[in-house]
Amino acid sequence: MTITSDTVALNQWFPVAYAGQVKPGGRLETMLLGQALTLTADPDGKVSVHLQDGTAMPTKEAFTLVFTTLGDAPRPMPVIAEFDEADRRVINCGSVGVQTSPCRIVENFLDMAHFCFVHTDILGAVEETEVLKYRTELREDVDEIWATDCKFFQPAASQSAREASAGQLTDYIYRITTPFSVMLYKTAMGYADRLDAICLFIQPRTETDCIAYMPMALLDDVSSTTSMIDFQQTIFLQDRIILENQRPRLLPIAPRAEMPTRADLSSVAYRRWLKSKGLRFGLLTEDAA
Amino acid sequence: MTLNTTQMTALGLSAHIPPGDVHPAVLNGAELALWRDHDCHVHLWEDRCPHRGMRLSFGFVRANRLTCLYHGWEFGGDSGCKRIPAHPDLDPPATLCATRFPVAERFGMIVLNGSPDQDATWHAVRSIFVPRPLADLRLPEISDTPWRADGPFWLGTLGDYRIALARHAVGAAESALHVTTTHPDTDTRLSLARALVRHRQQFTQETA
Repeated sequence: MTITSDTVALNQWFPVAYAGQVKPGGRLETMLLGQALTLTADPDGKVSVHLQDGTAMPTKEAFTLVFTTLGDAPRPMPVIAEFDEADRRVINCGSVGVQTSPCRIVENFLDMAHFCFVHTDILGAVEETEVLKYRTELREDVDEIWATDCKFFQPAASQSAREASAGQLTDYIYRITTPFSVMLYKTAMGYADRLDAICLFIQPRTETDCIAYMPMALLDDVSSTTSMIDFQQTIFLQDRIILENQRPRLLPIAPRAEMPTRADLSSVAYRRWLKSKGLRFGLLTEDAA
Repeated sequence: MTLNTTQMTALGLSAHIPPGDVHPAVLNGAELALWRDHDCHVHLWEDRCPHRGMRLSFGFVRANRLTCLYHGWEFGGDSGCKRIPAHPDLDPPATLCATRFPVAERFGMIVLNGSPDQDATWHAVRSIFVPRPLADLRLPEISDTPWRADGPFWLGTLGDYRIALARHAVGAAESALHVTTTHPDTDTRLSLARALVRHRQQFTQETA
């Protein structure tokens, strides 16, 4: 495997481990964009990232993850204020390997229309399949795509909701924070004006081999950490069956390569945004198609 | 997807796809979905939903429609999308359709670009995968008389009954071999199937 030449992909911060994954004094061999990396942790657990030739790479810890970049001028990390709010449970759900393009993973995370079929009786019910009209916008100040006014009926929207009721109309806001990360805000049980924050950060080892991380900042004083992690992992493993069986694995962005409908407004905006950036990594572009 | 649809190619056994079932098949690396509706008609489509690329062989058959596992889009036998659950009131445009290929059943096999036959009742013997290129395959010695070529098929005999055999390339280094017979006896078919497995074993050992 050789490192990608795609400067748009190179100039991003990517997670390469979750906090605590590399034990003090330990090491971890991993890969990012085709580049082999070695992670080591000092006796205090502080992680360093090196190329094979020993070059030290920049590192940051944020959102329960360890980030690095291979670019000279990386896009700034997203600001996600919820992780700094003292009364939230900040939970790291570990990581899951997924054999597909990072952009397929982002799109699936944005998608409400699959809840009823892939997450049946949890995030959706077979008798309530409609995706109501929502809005998407490019927020130019932060260069993020937001999808707002999203609503979906959910039998068990979260671990706390599962314990509390037989279903609810859940409000969602989606934020595409970088080409390779996305997050959502959704109704938190017992709060009228605050929302749970659930993130997805992707470490693309190669164009079609990824590691997904799901840090969360939740408003939940009741559920055990284990049950909250179990809930997210159950959801993600259901998605993985889909993700690894989409063809082609690379996200096709040529017009009419795939046929969207109104519910795919956010995916259409995401594809257009990726194209405008000149990204090629993880995409099946028009020239290649 | 490169698929030669002018060439007649057997992809599997009819008996392996009962009504209401869907299965994947691979021809020269092209991923296909085979499914049978409740009227017993068999369909051969590209294994890819036109919406977001999900393999349709993971879907399910309900009310003579193949439904995609990902978003529940329902496709009719003409491969057109009939219903999008995210928009229950929408009448999907005719341009929303899966890619379909001509298919028929002949000698108890499902055949790309085939023409049907009605001359006999054919029973499944076995489909086997062989980890060798198609060009290297040999015909197994399971026929009483020398194999006779009939298009992509090989026809043989078993006493008063007939045997049919066809092969297809799964990929560059893997092939599949399909065998059916008009012989009604289950034990006879089982021993034919065992002979095929022995044939593969011997062949793959010799060419290892």
